[in-house]
Amino acid sequence: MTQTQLRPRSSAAAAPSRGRLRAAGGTGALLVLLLVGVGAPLVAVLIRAVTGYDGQPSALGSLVHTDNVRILRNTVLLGLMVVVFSTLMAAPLAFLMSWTRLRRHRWIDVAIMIPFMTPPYVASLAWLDFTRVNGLAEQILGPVGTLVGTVVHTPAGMAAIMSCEIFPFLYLILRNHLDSLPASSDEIARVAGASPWQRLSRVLAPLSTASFSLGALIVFIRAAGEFGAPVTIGNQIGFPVLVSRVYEDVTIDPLDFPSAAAFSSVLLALGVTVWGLQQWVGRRPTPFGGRAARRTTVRLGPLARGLGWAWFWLVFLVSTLIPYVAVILGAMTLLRSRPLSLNNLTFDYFGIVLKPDAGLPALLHSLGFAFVGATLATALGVAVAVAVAGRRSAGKRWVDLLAVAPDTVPAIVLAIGFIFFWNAKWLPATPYNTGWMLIIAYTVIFLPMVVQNVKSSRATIDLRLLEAATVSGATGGQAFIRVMLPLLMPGIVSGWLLAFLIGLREVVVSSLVRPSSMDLLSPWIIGQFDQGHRAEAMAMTVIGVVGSTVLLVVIEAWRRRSSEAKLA
Amino acid sequence: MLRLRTRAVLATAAVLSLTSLAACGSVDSASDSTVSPAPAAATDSALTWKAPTGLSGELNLYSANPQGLTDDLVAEFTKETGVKVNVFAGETGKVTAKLDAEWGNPQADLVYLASWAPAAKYAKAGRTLSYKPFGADSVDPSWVGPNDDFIGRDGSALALVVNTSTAKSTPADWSDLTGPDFKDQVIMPDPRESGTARDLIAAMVASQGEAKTWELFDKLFANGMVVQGANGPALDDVTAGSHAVVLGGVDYSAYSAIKKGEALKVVLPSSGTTVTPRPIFITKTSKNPEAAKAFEDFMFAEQGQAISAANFMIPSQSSVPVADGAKPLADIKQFDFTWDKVSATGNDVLDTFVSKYLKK
Repeated sequence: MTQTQLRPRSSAAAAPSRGRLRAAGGTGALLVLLLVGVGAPLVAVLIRAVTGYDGQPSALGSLVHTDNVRILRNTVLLGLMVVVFSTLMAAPLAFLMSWTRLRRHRWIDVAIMIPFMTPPYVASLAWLDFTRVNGLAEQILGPVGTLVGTVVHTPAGMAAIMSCEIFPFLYLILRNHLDSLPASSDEIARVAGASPWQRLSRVLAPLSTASFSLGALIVFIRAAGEFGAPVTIGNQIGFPVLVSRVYEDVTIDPLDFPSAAAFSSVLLALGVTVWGLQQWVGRRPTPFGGRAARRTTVRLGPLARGLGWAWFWLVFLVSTLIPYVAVILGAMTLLRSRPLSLNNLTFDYFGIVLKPDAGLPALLHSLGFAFVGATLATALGVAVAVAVAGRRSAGKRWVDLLAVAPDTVPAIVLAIGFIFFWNAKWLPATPYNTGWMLIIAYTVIFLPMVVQNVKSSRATIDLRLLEAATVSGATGGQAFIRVMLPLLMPGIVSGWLLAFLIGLREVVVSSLVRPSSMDLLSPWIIGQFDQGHRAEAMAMTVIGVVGSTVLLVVIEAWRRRSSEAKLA
Repeated sequence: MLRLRTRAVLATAAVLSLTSLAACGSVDSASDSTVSPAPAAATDSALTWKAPTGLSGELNLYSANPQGLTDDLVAEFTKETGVKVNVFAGETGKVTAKLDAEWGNPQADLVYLASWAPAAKYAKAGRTLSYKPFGADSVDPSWVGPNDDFIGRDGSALALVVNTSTAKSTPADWSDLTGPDFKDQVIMPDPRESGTARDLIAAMVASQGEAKTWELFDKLFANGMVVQGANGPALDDVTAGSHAVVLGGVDYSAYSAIKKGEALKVVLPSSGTTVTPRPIFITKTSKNPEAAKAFEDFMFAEQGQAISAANFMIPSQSSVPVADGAKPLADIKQFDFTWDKVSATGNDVLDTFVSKYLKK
């Protein structure tokens, strides 16, 4: 019974069996969409890994070379370090912002999101600039600055910088999860006399395992697939990982597509393994009674409150303040060879980059495409998240796997896959080289983000609410629109928002599959860097992040108002 | 409450920015690198090109940076012919990645790269259309690919780029950087990332032999030289004063930084260097070869060459003057090598270099 009611498409008057049939049809349609959008490009890459490309033989045999085993080990190590650092940053903050009075300070949420909105290579470049020889760190902090520079140039330092940019993913998932935990779960334990430690280890931790494992999966996969820090810091310190190897294969002459395809296949296998692990860890739904749907509030002593604030400011300093000092100074410095002084600073670059013959078209295109891509991905993502819930079937597992698959390969592989597949000669018609290609590509790469968020919301919905709706005579459609959708809304909104923000900062797919003459924000910024126009690049970064922040504040305000309405 | 706080923050920010605005400098609009002078008014020289009539359709141009140069060329060509040109611009690596991924169904009509080796590779694979553009007879023969399959239309020299406010002295040749004045002061672009740096080492080996080349690099590394990043970041590092000299810096980026007012100086080494011809070719699969040929003609004519010179490139037509401060091809002492040889040996030389100096 419940199963059919969960389907978005089960029509009003449908008998249970017909509803089930339609649900299966819906899953089938989703599966076809995902197979074309996600599966086909990845298969195109796998085929190249096996068959070679354009006269070059397959490179799968070279994978067992000791150097390459080291690359794989580095990748896993980096991913694990980023998971640890991100957890240290995100978990305490999520707890503070959901279950304690600190949540009244909504601006903290915005502050935590700023590093997320920063293009990853910009954050690495900013840190490298801050800690370079004779750089700001040494000028201000002296030997301590030199020490910070030394730390940044280690694998752990690199992992920390990557965590600064990735931890908001985990933060959002954990915070949304904690927001939705009913107060009764913790309050029952407190009334029964459990100590704070017992409440944490016996109640909160088990209830959060599934959400945390989902967040850790995202963090790990992002860390394994993000090329910003590996190709800047990693190459400097001689710490090759799979993604920097693939990047080298496809951007540095002589290009080696078979090798790129082979290493990508390894990355894909790694991603699928971790995904399987997460599925196993989070296999049991978290059952909790929905008696008191409000959020709980944990009182903090003065010491704990002080520690909480100190932790926030430390994370803020490392993830936002220091990189942004470097970025903003970079955007305002007239002559880089002259010392820092007011005479050597200007606001002019902000105006220069917003001219129609400079970065303005790139900015507008990115806004438009990110919006369309995020919206389509959200529609598709809700369908996926709802479809895969409940009883498992082979079809559903495939839908689930394909929906997160784009996050298990580096974006550059997916971009190459899009080109291989959509520019194939045998296709009678193709969106390739038009804006549609970019929309398809964005929708596909945003999808995992949306699905994870919606699923996270979905996992906390008490099925009895839907049963209650059915008992009260609601049709499947009504139950979905009046009960399910509002409960999913926080996940949908944050999924859309994150997808949109990723669209603004995404660089790899944007640079490779965009139509020839269409400029986009991140490729424009990186192009300015490559050509030595540092100030223009930094100025546009600031504009992008300020714009994203404004949007975030507006949506946060709306979210807050609606959640207050819900509690009232 | 929230509104009050927001207002306070805004007010503070406004006051801060106003006060600092008053004290700040400004970007001299003349130094805006995207603006370049209009091409020299067509004189009666033999290199003056007249746009053919009857061209139509569009062109897809894949072009390596700098984008300012590409944009200027395209704007002028479209003005003259009415042919719309779609540009895909990026580093040579990104351009070749897109090309290679598309060979199944090629989209590009014209390709304009910053290094010789990939063009030579494509020519060898039979992907380029043999074409001798207008004015090709006055181009240095070493810049013309075999069978006119591709041709270098402007060039950039590799130099010692010196930060004049941090360097203790001005070096004149590569070997000067092994002295105590430049202890820990030299940065070289990573030849694994920069095609021009790789070509430089290969050209040194071709010209002076392995023994002499590795002796120089032994001394340079013993003197604390670091190898890091691509060309742009290496120049940025020296401009910002972290090191004093770029070994093998690209001249045109340094010239445009100098024009902006940065304290830099370009030194062309006395024992010789490389001038990389930046090749252009038409793809065999071009759907609009007439327009592509017209574009290539335009690029070798005085009008197109003047645009290159204005962007600090070295024109392939020696009759077109270089920009103020830059040096023409004839005045640059080059190593004794051929591009075919350097393209062929480049990867082996790179492997040796990496295993000698960069394996950690």
